[in-house]
Amino acid sequence: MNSYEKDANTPDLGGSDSSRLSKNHVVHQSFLLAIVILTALGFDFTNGFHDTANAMATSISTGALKPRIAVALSAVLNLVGAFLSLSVAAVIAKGIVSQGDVTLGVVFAGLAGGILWNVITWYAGIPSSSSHALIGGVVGAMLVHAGMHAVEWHGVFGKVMIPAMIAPIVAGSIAAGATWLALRMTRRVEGSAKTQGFRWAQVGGASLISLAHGTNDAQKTMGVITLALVANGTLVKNAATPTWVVLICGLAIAAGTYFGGWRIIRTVGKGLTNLDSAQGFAADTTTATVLLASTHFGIPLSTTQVCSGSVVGSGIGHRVKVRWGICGELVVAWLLTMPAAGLVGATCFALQSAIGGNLGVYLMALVLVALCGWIFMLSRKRPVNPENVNDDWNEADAIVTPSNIAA
Amino acid sequence: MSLVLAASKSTALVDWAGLIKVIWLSALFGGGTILIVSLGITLLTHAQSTSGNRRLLDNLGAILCLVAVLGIVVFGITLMLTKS
Repeated sequence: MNSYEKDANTPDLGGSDSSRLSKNHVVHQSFLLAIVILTALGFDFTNGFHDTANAMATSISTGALKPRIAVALSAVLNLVGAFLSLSVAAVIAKGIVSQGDVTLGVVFAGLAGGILWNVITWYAGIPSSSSHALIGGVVGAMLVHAGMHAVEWHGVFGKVMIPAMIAPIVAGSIAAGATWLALRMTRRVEGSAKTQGFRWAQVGGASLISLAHGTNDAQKTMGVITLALVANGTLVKNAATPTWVVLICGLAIAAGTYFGGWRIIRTVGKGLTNLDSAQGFAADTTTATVLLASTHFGIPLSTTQVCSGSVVGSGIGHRVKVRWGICGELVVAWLLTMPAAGLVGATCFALQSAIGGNLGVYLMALVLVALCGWIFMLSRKRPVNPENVNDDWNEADAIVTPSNIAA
Repeated sequence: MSLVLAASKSTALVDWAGLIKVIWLSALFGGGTILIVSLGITLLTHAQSTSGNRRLLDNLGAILCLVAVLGIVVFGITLMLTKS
């Protein structure tokens, strides 16, 4: 341990007691730190497979890329993007929860909430925001830990809830216009030349989204791990993120991306509307430009919501069938993301506190692994994989059907 | 008057000015990219059915479109690298 000095802006993750000097405590603290790092990497992995659809669903759907090649390309670009992240902030849910009240237990419970919601929505094939899930988990845990005053509700509404409603409308409107423009401009170009041209352009747009995803989302996990290391005393305050942290975060998100998230890819690529190459190109270009512009101006728009909005907008622009029922289900899921992940985070924190000490965290980690494993086993009953991801959409694929609910 | 002062001091939930910038810049660059790529595809296709100087001009135009799109991609990557 080095001479880490706590100040008002740095979270106390439970490592500032004089008793931590005891050998036993140090061992427990290190083990807790390891659990939090592993959970953060688990979240990074789920973030990867959950968000593959944002970049690659349209390219897979239009046949611009074969499914396996698409996820491999996206995985590599996510890894490269992780190394392009120049400034990592050692924070979690900044501007939404009081950073001074964050503890290692809150971080763990928040990550647990994010992971579980990501896995549940993946099972249901719902593209929901991983960042909103993580924020929801942390807010829920913080409410149990420190009460209402520790949550900045202004930030919850301004950075999460309102942007969640605005993002798909903005992206959808631009994508509708872009699709109309693309089709209008190439109306005299015959079949395959147009398709091939837009397919190549679409791969470029999808690659840019993957790269941007690596720079943004891998960086968030790096921030969480750096935060834990600083507070544990392993790193001094304001220290640069170690290369090994960048590497493991990049590898985790790349592995998750390569895992595929086929269920969500199917919903985005086939469920929302029927895509051709011009629509796919317009949707990807819109997603990339909206994301880059919003990141540049510091407007927190979710990649998932921008991407889904773009796909729907491309359907409107081409005047093809849009499955509004599924769109409605997505909107409901987006609005539920924060409360649902918050509920998991709050329950997790309450249970680990009730059990007490590090044992509570260890047991909750085991419960989390068991639940994720169970959902994964359930998904095997109706698998979606590279072979069937592009099959025609039918009513049985709908996210919420009476049979699905009964199951 | 006090209401006006209070309103002017309050912090907006959403940065609407920033959001409007995002919308028009996205529309500008997104629409611009679509326009350039579509023009490139049209010129390239047209070049295959013509000959002589016309073919050369069409091909040259398509190459210029490709260069412009590459420029936009490089600009996008630069934005990623320079984000705060």
